[in-house]
Amino acid sequence: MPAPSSPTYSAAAKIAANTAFRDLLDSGSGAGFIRIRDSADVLLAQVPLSDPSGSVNGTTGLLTLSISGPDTSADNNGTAAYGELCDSDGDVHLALATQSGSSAVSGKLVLNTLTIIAGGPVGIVSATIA
Amino acid sequence: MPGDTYWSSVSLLLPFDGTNGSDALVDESDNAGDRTITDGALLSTAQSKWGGASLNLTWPSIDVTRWTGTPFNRTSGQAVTIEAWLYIPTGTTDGGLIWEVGNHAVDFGHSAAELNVLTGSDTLDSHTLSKNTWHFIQMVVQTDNTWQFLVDESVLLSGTGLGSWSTGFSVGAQIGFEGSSTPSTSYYIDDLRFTKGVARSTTTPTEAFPIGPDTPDEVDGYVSADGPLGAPSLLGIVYPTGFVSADGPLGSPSLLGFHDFTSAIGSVLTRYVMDLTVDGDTVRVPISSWQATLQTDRSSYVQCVVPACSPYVDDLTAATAFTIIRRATLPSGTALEYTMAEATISSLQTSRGPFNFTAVVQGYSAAFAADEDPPALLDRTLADIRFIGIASGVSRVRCAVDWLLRPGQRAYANGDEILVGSISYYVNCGEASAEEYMEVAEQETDG
Repeated sequence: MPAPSSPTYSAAAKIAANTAFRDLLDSGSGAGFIRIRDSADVLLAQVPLSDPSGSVNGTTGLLTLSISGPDTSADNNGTAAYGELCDSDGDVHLALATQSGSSAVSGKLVLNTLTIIAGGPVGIVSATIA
Repeated sequence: MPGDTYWSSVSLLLPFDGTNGSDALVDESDNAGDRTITDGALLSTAQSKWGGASLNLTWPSIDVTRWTGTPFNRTSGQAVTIEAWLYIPTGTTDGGLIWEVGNHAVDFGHSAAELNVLTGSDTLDSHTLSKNTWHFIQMVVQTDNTWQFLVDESVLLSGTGLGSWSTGFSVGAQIGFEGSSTPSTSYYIDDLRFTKGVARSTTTPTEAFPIGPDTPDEVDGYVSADGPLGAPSLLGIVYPTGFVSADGPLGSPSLLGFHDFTSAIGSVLTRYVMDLTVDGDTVRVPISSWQATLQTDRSSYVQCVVPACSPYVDDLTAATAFTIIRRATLPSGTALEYTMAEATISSLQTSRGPFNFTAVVQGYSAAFAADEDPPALLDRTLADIRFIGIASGVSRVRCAVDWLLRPGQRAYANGDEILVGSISYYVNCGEASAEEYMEVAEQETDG
């Protein structure tokens, strides 16, 4: 095996880790969700996940989250600062910063705009964990 | 991770790690018990250089985070290193102290969006920082009382006069805002470290400051000697100690979201401006018109006209890219801005009219990705349709400019579905002749 240029886990390790994370999102009594908050932690929008919340690729370990539907009406006006992946009890299992853009960026919740207007729909186009 | 060779000299180490919104600032140095950390700047996970969080200083909810006591006293002839990471978001033009020790300070702001080194009320030098990126800033004082202030390894300022430093700084240290000025938004600080007695390396770190002392290699020695007059021999065996550090197998998340704010806009007047990218910063310029053709599979083209451009000639000449921004102020007072088109500048033309110069900026950007089955979440319904035609089997629709539609998405015109291959914008923003529309064309199919 050639020397790896970066830490390299086996597919089995990735599958186990991402499956455990997916199970955490599903650990509540219902479906989990993705919350979007501003820098003062005000809830701007909440996008529901499916239950189970996603599937893990049996070859690569990639976790692809399943989005149940958009939040059809954002809760508050504000500037999106970060997102949270929560179980149905509201326990946060991943928090990540936002940035504006039109394509996915590793480690970020990318939104077409960070200006959230109450009443407008907010959805998640794609959500993966490598 | 290896430890710090100078750990015993570290008088303050704040990694600013923890839960978003927490005001628990933990000093990881061994001297933590010597001081009190007061006031309540908050940790934020919105930005972080290391460890997933940083200290977010915002106005007006946060004032100053201060350390009292005398742990930073410097005696004459003693080296000192103060260092931290700094992140200034776009839009922040005025901030506050990055740090202040005694009468010597580094701050950001003065309404000029510059990093300043000060002694008392005297600004020794200022430096323009690029936004939305982390910078490593350092103040290094040598034993001969000479000092350097560095940003990303570059010496910004150096000198020999230490002012109050030469007699120590027993009043404590602080970071954050002070005084009556009103900073525009916020900034972030990560990994702040004071080291007393050491002038550290000025190389930008590639990882977080270590917590704890460096662990030396283990050495076992075997000694043998023939006798009191014989030659001794020493055999040393070094057992290297291994440190394993790697991110866990849980990989990096990527989430892509979409927000449709257009229902809140209604009949609110919208305007357009251009943002120039100049040396990593943004300069806003008024425009009188713009046109663009955004498309899949081919480069997109953007052009705009800057009337009365004399005040902006230097920025226009230095700019490398430009962005067309659509703006609206909602009845709630919320200011909405959205990127309509952006391009790398390929040409700049100026011409002189009867009273002033006019500039025409044009450029190209990468093609949008075509998608045969785009997510329904991104679908748009075209409004104010003026014309629908078909040429060479490709539908074209002239309609009102949509804030959110881009090539590669799906649009509906009078109920008919269009996979959008290109959008041509024609926008005249002049007060007397304002008119705007776009033409949406279907993706061309092979054959």
